[in-house]
Amino acid sequence: MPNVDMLLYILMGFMIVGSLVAVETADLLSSVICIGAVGFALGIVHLLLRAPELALTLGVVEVLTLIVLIRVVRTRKDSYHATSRDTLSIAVVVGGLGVMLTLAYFALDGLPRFGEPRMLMATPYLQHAFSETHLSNAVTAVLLNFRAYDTLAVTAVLFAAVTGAFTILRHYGRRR
Amino acid sequence: MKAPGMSLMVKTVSRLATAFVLVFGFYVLVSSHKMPGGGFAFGVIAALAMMLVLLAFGRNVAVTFIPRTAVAVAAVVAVIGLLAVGFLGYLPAMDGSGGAFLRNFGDYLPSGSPDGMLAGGTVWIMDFCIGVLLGAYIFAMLTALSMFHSRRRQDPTEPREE
Repeated sequence: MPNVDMLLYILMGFMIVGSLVAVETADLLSSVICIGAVGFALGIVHLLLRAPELALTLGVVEVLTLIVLIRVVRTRKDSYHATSRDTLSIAVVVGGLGVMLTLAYFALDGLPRFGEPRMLMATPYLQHAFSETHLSNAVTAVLLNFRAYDTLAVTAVLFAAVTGAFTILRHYGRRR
Repeated sequence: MKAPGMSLMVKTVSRLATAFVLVFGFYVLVSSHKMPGGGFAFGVIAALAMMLVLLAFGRNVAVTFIPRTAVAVAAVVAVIGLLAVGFLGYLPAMDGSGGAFLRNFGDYLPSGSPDGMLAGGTVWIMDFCIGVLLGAYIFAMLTALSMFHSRRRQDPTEPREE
């Protein structure tokens, strides 16, 4: 297990560095590739944490988004890169963040500690997954049976995404 | 996007590969009761196969190969299937307890072998619906991207590199 922890730390450091490069670089294409690298590292993290379902879906989604983004990115330079930064607005943002964190500290103090009681929801799911749904894959049982509401909401989110894509892209007009 | 698609090699390979990608997606879908996978993975893999066609053969061929009405009909049928599963959950259960939205009414359905795909009641219906829905949605998004980005804005400050 310590090896896995070490690998996780390395991967997380890699992801942080990749995200920073993706944000800071002026070249849009390398930014997109950095995002793809971060996504694949996240997939490996899922594999190490023994979540092959997530890793499978995430890997395919990463391939899809990477190809689409590379296809969409046409300009080489990010002309929208901010050159000057407003000190006041950054100060306001940082101050607001500090106030929020302080309030969150007091607000979250009353909640039960992280991970306690252990497996509060997972235990009944795991115990009843096979006897109630007859599915040997507990993840499918949770996704489509115990939490089918969640899945229904996810499809609604996807519908919103498709509608948004059509609405935003329509602005440029349709040829032929 | 001027030329209709990519080179002959890409076209040949993608013509061969598309079927295999779709078959793998279907395998992932129908084996989700005991292996990693499911509707989401199938939807994205199917969309990937369709994107292979789209990129290799160009937009016009892809749109005739996979008609827009077929995609729309698939999405609508999938949504209706999901909602039907939801509302059929209001049927009272066989053991006398009441129904609820999205209740698993598997007691009314054939269950097949105890470890098979049909054993989970409504789960496989929802899985199929979600897979079809996701594939249709993502393919719609891809066609939107390829259709609407052809004409650039007439903004002189926009960098025009290609």
